[in-house]
Amino acid sequence: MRINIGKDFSDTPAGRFRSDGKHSGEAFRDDLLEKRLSEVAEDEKLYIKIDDVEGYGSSFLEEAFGGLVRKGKYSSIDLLNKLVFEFEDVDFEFYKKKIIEYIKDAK
Amino acid sequence: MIKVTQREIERIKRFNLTLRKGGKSSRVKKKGRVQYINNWFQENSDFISLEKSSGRYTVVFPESLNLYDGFNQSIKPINSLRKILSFKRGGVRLRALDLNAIQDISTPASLVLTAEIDNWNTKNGRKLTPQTERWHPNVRGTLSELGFFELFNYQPCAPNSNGLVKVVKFIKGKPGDEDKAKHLREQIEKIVGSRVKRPPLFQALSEAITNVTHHAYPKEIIKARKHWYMTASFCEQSRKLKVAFYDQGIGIPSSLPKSKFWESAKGYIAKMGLINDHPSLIAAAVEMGRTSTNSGNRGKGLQDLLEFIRQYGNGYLSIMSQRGHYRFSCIERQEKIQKNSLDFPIMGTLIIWSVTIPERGVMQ
Repeated sequence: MRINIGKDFSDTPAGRFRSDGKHSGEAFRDDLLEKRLSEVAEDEKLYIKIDDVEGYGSSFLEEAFGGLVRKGKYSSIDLLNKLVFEFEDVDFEFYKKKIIEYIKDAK
Repeated sequence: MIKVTQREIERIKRFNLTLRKGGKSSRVKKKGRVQYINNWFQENSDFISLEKSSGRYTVVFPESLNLYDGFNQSIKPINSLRKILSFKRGGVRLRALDLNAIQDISTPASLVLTAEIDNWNTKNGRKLTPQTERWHPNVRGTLSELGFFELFNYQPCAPNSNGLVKVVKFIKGKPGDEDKAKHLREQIEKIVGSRVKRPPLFQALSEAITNVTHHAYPKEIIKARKHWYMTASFCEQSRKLKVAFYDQGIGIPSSLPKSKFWESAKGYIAKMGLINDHPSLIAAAVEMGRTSTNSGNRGKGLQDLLEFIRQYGNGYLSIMSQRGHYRFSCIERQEKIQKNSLDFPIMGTLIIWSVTIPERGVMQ
């Protein structure tokens, strides 16, 4: 199963909460990410293409991914085992590392 | 015998209540307000003139408007505009802004001036008209490229013919308008003539917008009025790209103590042995997201502003907010932080990114 953030959600994802704007981290997490995770079989991974976007602010990434751990939906270890981040643009290696950091640091 | 009316009795009761509460009568308050306004105009009389016939004031701008090289002389008339508009009573009215003497104007100063005049124009029912006959051609051209004249029902002037510095039309937005950051990037690439580093630019601008949403304005201000402005310019000679972002909020030094990050910020200030002044508060707001491991999931946004500079390896980020100035510089990837106090406040927050764009075909 796959998510392409730029095509399935928005190419300008930004903001933390729904009140910040239409394409917030909270909206991505609750409306798309969590749904797809629940649909993925236990032995399968969820592939997330992260580079069809303008970029990411920390508010969006932390709420989208760290928020899953903070809300008790997943442990950080389980979530990191489930997700695979894909990108062709090498500039997005930085954001993959940030997402992993936010998942690990989420409490 | 004069009969005391009920109205007079109520007036006396109110007056006595005011005195008992330790307050001043309205006449005393009015006298105090007039004295305050008179004192303020005397202190700023070197660039404010009064037209005695109408009792209205004109603010005269200096030859050079540059918030980096000539901050004091540039910010005082800009602040005066806002100050005069804030005097709702006391017979104080703003007649005009005299821009005739300006011979050069920087992009960030143009943006701040445009934002303040936009504010005035809105309060004035959008009836302002620029009188540009005596403006310096460079200033007319720069402001025209910026889109300044679109604030009014006015024909834009021709852009600068020398073309050394190209300016992107300013963008005004509010919370939720992050897609406008993509539009700015597209306009920047047109004037630069090549791709810029999109992800860190969007990262910086989107976080600046999110910060306006969460912190810049008081809670009672509705979302639709939490405005921000941004623009960019590129000098072909020096290959310097400058991006400017401005909000007219309460400023980082005022918003930080009211935020959830105040405890983390205080910890950072104590740990670094800093004084609790405006430059240190801005530094704390930026740095605590990097250094504090106990700040939880919030407070990392201002660190995003630095990434655009780091990616290019040569440039600076400047944050001016109230009386604080924070500057992060990167020269050949060597990072340096400076901060200093400003003699006069900037009313809001101005963020400037400046990077050197390599020539096409040159590897960074």
